[in-house]
Amino acid sequence: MGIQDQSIKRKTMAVIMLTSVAVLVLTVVAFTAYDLVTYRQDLVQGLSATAAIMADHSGPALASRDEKDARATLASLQADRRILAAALYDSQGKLFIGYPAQAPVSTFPKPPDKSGHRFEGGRLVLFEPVVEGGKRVGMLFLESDLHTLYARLRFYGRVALLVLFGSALVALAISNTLQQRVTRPILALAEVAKAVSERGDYSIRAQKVSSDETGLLTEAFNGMLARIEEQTEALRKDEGMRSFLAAIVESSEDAIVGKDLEGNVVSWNVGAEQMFGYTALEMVGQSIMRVQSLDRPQEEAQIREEAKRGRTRHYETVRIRKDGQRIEVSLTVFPIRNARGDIIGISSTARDITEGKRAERLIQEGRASFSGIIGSAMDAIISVDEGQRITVFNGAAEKMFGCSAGEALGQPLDRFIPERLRRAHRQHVAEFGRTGVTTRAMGDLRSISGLRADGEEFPIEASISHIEIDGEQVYTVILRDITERKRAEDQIRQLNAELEQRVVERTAELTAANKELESFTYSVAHDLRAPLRHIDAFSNLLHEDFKAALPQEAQHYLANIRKSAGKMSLLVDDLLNLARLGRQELRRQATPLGRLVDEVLADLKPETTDRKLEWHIEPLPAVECDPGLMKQVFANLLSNAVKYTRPRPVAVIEVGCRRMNGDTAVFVRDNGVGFNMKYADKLFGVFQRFHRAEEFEGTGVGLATVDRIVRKHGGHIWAEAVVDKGATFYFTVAGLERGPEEGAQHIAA
Amino acid sequence: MNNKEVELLLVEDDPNDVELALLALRKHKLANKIHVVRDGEEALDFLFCRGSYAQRSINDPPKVILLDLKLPKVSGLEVLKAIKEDPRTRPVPVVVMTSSREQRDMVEGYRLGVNSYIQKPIDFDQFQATIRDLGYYWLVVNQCPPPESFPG
Repeated sequence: MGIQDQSIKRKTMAVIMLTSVAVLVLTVVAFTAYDLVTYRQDLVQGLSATAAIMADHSGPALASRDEKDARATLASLQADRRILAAALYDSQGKLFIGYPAQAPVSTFPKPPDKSGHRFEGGRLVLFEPVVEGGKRVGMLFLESDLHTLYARLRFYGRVALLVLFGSALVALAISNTLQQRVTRPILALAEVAKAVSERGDYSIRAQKVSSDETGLLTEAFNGMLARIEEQTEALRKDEGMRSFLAAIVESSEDAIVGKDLEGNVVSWNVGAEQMFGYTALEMVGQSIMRVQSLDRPQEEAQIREEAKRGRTRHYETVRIRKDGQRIEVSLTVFPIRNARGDIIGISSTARDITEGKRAERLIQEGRASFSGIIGSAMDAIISVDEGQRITVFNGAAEKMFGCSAGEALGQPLDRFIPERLRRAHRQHVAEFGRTGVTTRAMGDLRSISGLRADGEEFPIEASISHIEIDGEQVYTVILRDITERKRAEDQIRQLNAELEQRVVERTAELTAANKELESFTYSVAHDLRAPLRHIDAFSNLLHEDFKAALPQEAQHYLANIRKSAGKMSLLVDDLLNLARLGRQELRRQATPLGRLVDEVLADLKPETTDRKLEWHIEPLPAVECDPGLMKQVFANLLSNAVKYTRPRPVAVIEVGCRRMNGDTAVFVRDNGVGFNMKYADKLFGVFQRFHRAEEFEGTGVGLATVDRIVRKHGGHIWAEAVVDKGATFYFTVAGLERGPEEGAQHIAA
Repeated sequence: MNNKEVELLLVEDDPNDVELALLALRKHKLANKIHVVRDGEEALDFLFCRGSYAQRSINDPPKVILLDLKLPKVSGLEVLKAIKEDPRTRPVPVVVMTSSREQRDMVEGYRLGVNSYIQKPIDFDQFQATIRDLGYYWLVVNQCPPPESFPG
C-alpha cells in the first residue's frame, strides 16, 4: 500500500513524526559534529602543548645526546595514559630514543621534515621540532590514543538515540491528539460522503465541528448535498413526469405522431403502430406521406401549412394502412413549439373512426330498415310519449283504425280506445311504467278492445314495451286485430261443442249398439239354442217312439239331424264365447299357470280314459292374468293336443316354458298329426279347419279364441309343426318374463 | 182343474219346451199335478191369485216352480224377484231352467234367492233325465215347507 492510499490519519501522523525525527536527527548530528571538531582541536591542542613541553624539556638532552636524560624526559609521559608512544629523533632524523622503551623500533615512524599532526588509524600522531638554543636539534614524535574521542562519540550516539526515541513517543502522543482534532471532521465528512455514495441518499448531512477550513468544507459539502438532493428530486419528478407522459403517449389507442416541419416522422407511438401497421422503426425518419391516401395529394401539405401558422386543426380523413386497407381517421393536428416559442414540429393525433363510421352507417341503415319494418309490419305499431300522445303510427295502424298517420300523430291515444276502457287503459300504462318491466308479451295481456275511426269496436291483442329515451318514457304497443281470430276461435269452439255433442250422441249410439249386441248374443245364447234342443228332442222322440215304423234310411237321416243339431250347439257355444271375449274386462290376478294346467288335465280325464297319454309338464311360472280366460287357453291347446294325437299309440304331450327371441314363451307340444306350415297363417282364423270333420271334430273357433285371449294379455301366439310329426304351440303373456317360479312337474298316463 | 192339486208350476213360453217337459214328466208319472203358465205375468197372477186366478188361495202354493228366464211380458228373473220379495211366496222353491249360458243370469238368479239353477241340456236324453230327476227330487224327495212357513 503506497503512502497515497494511507488514511489521512496515518498520513498526518507520519508527517508529524517524520518532521520531528528529522529535526532531532539534524540537531544531534550538528551538535555531535561540532562537539567532535571542538574535541579534536582540544586533543590536538593538548597534545601540542604536551609536545611543546616535552620538546622543550628534551632539547638539552638531545642536543647533548644524553640518552638518559632524554629517556627520563620521555618516561614522564607515563602520567598521560593517552600517550601510546613517543620518540626523539636527532637532527638527521635518526631515532634517538623511543617510548615506551621496550617498544620495537618499527613502532616509530620515520620523521617527516616538517612538524605537524595527523589522525591515522584511530590515533593522533604529532611531530614537534626540538629546538635548543635557537637551533633545531631533532624531532619529537607523539602518538596519542583517540579512544576518548570514540567513547565520547558513543555516548553522544546513545544520548541521541534516547532523545530520538523519547521525542518520538512524545511526538506520537501529541500528534495523536492533535491530528484527531484535525482529521475527525474530515473523517466524518468522509464517512458521510461514503454513506451518500453508497446509499445514494442525499438527505444525509455532515456535522460541522469547527469553524476552520474543515468546517467550511463540511458546510460546502452539505450545501452541495442539498443541491444534489434538490436536483435529484427535481430530476426524479421530471423523469416521472416524462415517463408518465411517455406512457400516456405510448398507451394511447390513438396514433400520436410527431413530425418535423418537412413532414418526416420523429416519433411514432404504439397506437400508431397498431393503427397504421408500420413499426416505429419503419416510420421514424420517413415521410408521413407513406400513410397518405393517394387520392388526396395536397392534404398533407395543407395540414402542415396550417400547423406552421400555429393553428390547431381537426380533420376527418382517410389513411392507408401498411396492408393497404383504408381507414377513416379523425385527426387533431397542432404545432410543437420550443421553449422560445418557435414552431419546431407538428404533432398529430389520429383516431380510427372506421368502426364508428360503420356503426353510424349501420345505425342509419338500421333506422331505415327499422322504419321499413315498422312501416311494413302486419301488426299496428304505435308509440306514445309520457303524455300518451302518439309519436309513431304505422301503416298497419292506419289500416286498423281507419285513420291516417297525419291525423293520428300528436293525438292522445284515447281516441282509439273505447270510452269505457280509457281510464283503465291509462292506469294500466302508468302501472306498467312503474313496474320496471320493459316488455309484456301479447299472450300476457287480456284481450282488449280498440275503437276504429268509424266507431266500430274490435278485439285487439297487444304487447307493450317501454324504453327511456333521454329521460322520456316512450311506450310502444304492437296491436293485432284479432276480430278474425276471435271469429275463428268462436267457430272452433262451436265446432268443438258440436263435436262433443256428436261424440255424446255417438257414444250413446255405441252404447245402445253394444246393448243391442249384448241382447243379441243373449238371444243367440237362449233362443238359438232352444230350436236346436227341440230338433234334437223331437228327432229323438221320433226315433224312439216310432223306431219300428221307420225304415232304416229314415233312422239314419234322423241320426244325421241329431248330429248336426249337436254340432250347431257347440258352434253356438264357441261363437258366443268368442264374442263375449271382446267386451269382457280382464280380471287379472297372480295365477300359477301350473295350477291351471292341472285343472285342465283333471277336466280332460274323462275323455282320455281309453287313451295312452304321456304328459311331460315342466314347472310353469305364475303370471298376472285372468285365470278363467287363461284356463281356456290351456283347455283349448291341451284338448287339441289330445285330439290330434289320437292316431298315436302313445301320445306324448309336453308343456313348458322357454326363452324365445328375448321373450319367455309357454309351449304345448304334441307328437300328433301336425299340419303343413304353409297354412300356419290361417291357424288362428275363425272357422279355419285343417282336417276333415270325420277325422277330427271341431268348430274352428278354439284357436281363434286362444289367439284373442293371448292378445288381450299383451302376448302373441304362434305354432310350429311338421306333418305327421307333431305340433308345438307357443304363446307369450305380458309379465311372463320373470321366469319359472311355480308349477308342478308330473307325468300322467 | 183343482187348484189344490197343483204341485208343480211350469213357467215356459215355448210350446215345444212345454210339450217336451210334459212329455218327460208324464213318462215318469209326474205330470198329474202340473200347471203351465206361458208368460211371467200369468205366473205372477197364478202365484199371487190375481186376474184369472183370483179364485185361487195364496195359501195353496205349488210345491215347486220350474221357471224359464226368457219370458214374454215379465222376465223370469223379475218373476223370481217378485216371488222371493214377498214373504208369502218366498218359501216356495224355485228352479230356474234355462237354455241360456249367461253367467250373469245365474249369478243374478242366485242373488235373488233361486233354489236351483239348471241349464237345459241340448241332448234330449239328458233333458229327459234332468226333468225326471227334478220331478222326483222336488215332488217326492224334497220336504216341502210346512204351511206355517206361509205367513199369509
